[in-house]
Amino acid sequence: MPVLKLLGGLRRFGGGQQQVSGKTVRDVLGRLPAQVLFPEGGLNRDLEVLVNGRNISFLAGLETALAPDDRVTIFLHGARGYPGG
Amino acid sequence: MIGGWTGTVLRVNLTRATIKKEPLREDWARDYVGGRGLGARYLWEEGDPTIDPFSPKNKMLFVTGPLTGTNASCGARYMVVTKGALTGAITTSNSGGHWGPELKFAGYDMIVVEGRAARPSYLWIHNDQVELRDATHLWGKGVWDTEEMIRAESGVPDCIVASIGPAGENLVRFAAIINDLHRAAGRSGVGAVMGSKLLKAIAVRGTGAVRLTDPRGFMASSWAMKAKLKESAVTAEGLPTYGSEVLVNVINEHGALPTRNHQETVFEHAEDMSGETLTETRLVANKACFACTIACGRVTKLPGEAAGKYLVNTHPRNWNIAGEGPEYENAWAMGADCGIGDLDALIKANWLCNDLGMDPISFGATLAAAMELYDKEVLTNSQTGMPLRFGSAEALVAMAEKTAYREGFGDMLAEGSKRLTARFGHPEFFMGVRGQEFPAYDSRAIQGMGLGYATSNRGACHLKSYTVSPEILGIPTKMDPHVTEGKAEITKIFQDITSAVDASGLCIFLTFGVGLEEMLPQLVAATGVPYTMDSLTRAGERIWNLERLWNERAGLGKGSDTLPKRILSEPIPSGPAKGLVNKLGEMLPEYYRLRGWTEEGEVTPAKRKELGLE
Repeated sequence: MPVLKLLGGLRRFGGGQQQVSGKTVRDVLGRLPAQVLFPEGGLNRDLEVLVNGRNISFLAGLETALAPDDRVTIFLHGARGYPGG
Repeated sequence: MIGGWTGTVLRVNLTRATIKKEPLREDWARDYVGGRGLGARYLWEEGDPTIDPFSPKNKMLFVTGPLTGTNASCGARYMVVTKGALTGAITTSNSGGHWGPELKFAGYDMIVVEGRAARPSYLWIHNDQVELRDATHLWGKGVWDTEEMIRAESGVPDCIVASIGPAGENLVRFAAIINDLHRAAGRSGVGAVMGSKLLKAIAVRGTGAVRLTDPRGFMASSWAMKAKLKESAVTAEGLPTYGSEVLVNVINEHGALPTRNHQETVFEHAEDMSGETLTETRLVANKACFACTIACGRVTKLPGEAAGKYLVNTHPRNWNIAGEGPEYENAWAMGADCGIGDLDALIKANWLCNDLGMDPISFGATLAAAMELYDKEVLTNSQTGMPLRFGSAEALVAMAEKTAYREGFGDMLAEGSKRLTARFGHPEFFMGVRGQEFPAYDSRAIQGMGLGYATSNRGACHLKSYTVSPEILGIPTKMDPHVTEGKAEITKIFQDITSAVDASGLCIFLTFGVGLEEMLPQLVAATGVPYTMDSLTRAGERIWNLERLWNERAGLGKGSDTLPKRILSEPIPSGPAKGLVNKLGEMLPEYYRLRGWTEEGEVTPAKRKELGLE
């Protein structure tokens, strides 16, 4: 089963590291409460998800497929823009 | 005089024991904003880039910004500008706490320190009273004792002290200047330059205020920025809760945490030294600098006999055996880079660095290089005096003290890792740029950081173009850390804007939550100068180019924008970034082109003219 590691403030929803079931990132994200995932309706833009250390933005997003030995890392960063952006 | 400034510069000549008050160059304050930029402009005018950093001719400037000491959130910063003892390059070393605001309240924008004292001295400033005092009895004391003794003997218990410890006195090339016990102008050896001048401390007490051009407009824009900071998960929650240490797990999960002198990039004990673990087991409270609404500082404690000696009196609840830190970079350098996951050892070593006045980044990274020399059997016990194995917490704490006092093998560590590795015939083990050790991001796994390191004017540094923001945190937009596309442009933008923020007197951590556009109205209201986004960014570019020109004169221009062989040609052996090297060669030509420099990285006459640097 894939391993899920939650960082920082997300640890209140499940400790540091745990085995989880799920075929895609979307399945795993379902373990987090709705107020974290969709605080303003859409997917939380402060949420960062890695699969084996790669941000899912550079993989297949929420549909990124998970293998049994994959490692999923989730953390919240949050920020409202650096100058130049 | 434009607002935000007192209009007065203190010029202290230690050789002649003279103190003069002179008017601030208002035109320079306007064009270079303040802080880092203003200091660079004065040093350009008065300093000689070719001299030895320990020469009495090397000038030191302690410079505030127009927002230092105002009610702007995080307007606490002052900058030390000089020729760095570690690098020979221009250095701009920045600290928070309360010292910068206090200097303003005393009625001074900056201090120019010249010459070398005949005996250990400290500068005493109490509003109009400015004098050099004997510091013979303070010489040899740690920072914490020094602060306490000056407060006691002056009869002014609320004066703010910036001082050096034994590391600065002993010319440790990465000695720091510490104020408020734990806040550091940490990098490039500014403390060693101060030590070479026999200047132990500058103690300040001021009871004045900072004059603002448009107080009403300033307060409105200040509250608006504070509201933005409260909206950001980083500045409202992440940094106050976990401090910068929260990055340990984040960077390690990306496979970008340099481990055992950059031989690997995933540290197996990262969790043990992480911000989460520190917060759960060792945190007493978070702590803020002057006017800060983030409060990222970590007041930490050690249990039982591992405890230190100092009482941190921020609040009665902290009247326990406690100190401050470590921050992320310090924890990494003394931790993962040395293969050490013992959080208590990292806390203890961090406190030692603060009390002894030493940069934990360069100290830890230099020890890591020594550990690799030991691991490869280049160094033996007979040379080091004790086993320097990766992972040895005992070696870390012992060598922190020995380095500051230059005892035994500490005398060699005190020279920094470039000189150390060259001395033992393995310069390839030096992990840094322009003589300064890397901070906590492996640029094989975060490509843009490699360009930022290679071109950083003060040597390898994370604070001059923090492309970790887009490459890891997705701020302001997500950029793939493994590719080079777009990195030249974002690096230039970040370098210029960071220069402007550094010049303002604000803390760079603000930029996790707000942009330059939110800072701009405060700067305009404070100074009365009609800065725009364009003119402020241009000021940042002017500062960057001026520092570059200074380095060119120091012989650190053409050809010096490079990275160690390990980073350029040894692929990461395992983890998420396995197989990667930094592709600096793909980024550097585009960067030079965007800068308007020659193909070899020299500032052109046309660029100088454009920026008013002729």
